[in-house]
Amino acid sequence: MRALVYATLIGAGALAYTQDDRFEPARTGLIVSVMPSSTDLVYAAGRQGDLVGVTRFCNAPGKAVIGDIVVDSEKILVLRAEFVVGQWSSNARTLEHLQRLGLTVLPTDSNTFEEMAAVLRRLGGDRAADELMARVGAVRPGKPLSVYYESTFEPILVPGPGSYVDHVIRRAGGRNVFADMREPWLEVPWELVLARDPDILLIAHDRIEQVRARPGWNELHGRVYVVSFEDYVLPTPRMVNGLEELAEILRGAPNP
Amino acid sequence: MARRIPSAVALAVLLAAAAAAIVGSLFVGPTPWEQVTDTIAMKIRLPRACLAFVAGAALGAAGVVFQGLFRNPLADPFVTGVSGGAALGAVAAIVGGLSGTVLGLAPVTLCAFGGSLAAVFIVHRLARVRGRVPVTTLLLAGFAIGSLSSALVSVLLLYHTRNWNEILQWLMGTLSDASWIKVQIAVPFVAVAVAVMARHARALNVMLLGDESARQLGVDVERTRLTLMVAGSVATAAAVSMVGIVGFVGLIVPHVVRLLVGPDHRALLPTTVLAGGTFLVAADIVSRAVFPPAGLPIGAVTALCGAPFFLWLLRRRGLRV
Repeated sequence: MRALVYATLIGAGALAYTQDDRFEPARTGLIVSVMPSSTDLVYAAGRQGDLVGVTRFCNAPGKAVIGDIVVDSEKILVLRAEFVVGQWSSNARTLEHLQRLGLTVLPTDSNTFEEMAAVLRRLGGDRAADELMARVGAVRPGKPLSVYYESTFEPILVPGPGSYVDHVIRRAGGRNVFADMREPWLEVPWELVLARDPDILLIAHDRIEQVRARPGWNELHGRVYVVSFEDYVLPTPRMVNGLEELAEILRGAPNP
Repeated sequence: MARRIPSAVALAVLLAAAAAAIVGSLFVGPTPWEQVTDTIAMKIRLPRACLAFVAGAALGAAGVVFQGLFRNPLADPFVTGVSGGAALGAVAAIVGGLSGTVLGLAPVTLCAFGGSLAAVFIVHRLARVRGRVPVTTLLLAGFAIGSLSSALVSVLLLYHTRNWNEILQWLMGTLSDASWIKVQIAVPFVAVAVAVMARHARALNVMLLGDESARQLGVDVERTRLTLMVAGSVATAAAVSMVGIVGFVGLIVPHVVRLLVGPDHRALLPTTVLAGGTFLVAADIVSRAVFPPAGLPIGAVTALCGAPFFLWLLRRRGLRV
């Protein structure tokens, strides 16, 4: 079931990309955002002056709030927004609805740093895109060790192939310990982590004490790091921090 | 009328099935058998199977008692608001981000247990009319408190977007974080509750005749009802707080067993305890074998496996409550 949902979302995302090519970069015009990471990208592109509405979960002080998971389309029309930023993979229903109301969708979905740079350019942030790619290009990959990334404590949610984290791990020189799975994000039972005994364990939530209490924790051989969720999962230029951090970890780690 | 299975035979068969299911579940999982270490077998798979058994046994027993107590085939362990209270407690703990452990138990487990018992207490107080607790008011009060709790859970879910997965997983029932500590804590509660139920099995038989007849036959109806309600609720609370809301076991397993061994609670109760436990262990095996690597939520599996089987049995043998 979950696989089906993901497949649909990825399909929708792919569809959005093919539609996108028709759009010229939108360098002027008022924007509303329906997704926190999209809001961050608008800021990164230097377009916050045109941003007139955000969600309650966005980090955008002083901006009008247009909703949370559900947005108030009347308010968006009153704000006279022409563009809406969001992700097809997360906000498909909202984006379609706003499209029907005459707004132009600027999707911020990306699965690689190159695609993220393209998103920034589409938003008019050429300089931010250049800076991003310069930092990505400067990263020296580390040793090809197996990397485990734990996104949430319960259920244990990990990245599979096709996820951004998987991309970051490969860019940093490592290999995702769950690269052989079929879905971009999946739940795994703890015993599978024990059996695979990864070289590097990245814990991206604040319940490390409870992780240490799991059965068999002491039998794992890998090094453990608590990392920031935002630096690895949210598709914003902050992810290059995660890439740099992981590459450094992989360079410094002993050989298995 | 279909022939019944002697309860001794049923008990022996079920004991063997329970042992087979628990041992069998050691061999089922996403890790290839060569890579299964002692830790995986003894600290992950075995406590998981044992917790499933204890929870299934508790829910089955509570189902028997509530169906008898309310003389209602639709009664299940959750009728007294236990599940609603547990859900509200657990979700509040997750949303509140409580951390730390007490007696090795996570705050979610403790809050679920507290919430479920609080809900039962409130329901019982609300249902009391002039010193008596009529069955109908009890059912309605339980339903109302259950609905109120689930409404509050929905509101909390709406305003809290972190940890959604954790909340949903809990609401659908999960065995993924089973541990020996959970088993150790759940067993005494369930054991005492089931022992109390067993002591009142004969009274429960008499009460099936109706409150007036039971009184004339010397049963202290109010007291027995209160005792059984507390026992059923404690068993349910222990199960639900450890594994989340696993529906269906407590509703259907008692009916299936009743079809097979008859309505005498002295036979029905122990057989249902074994059957409920075995069923949940088996459902967990199915979940992990068919939906690797993490398995489906156990509550979804119990309904998916149990409903068709129950319907088949219903058509074949005819339901008598």
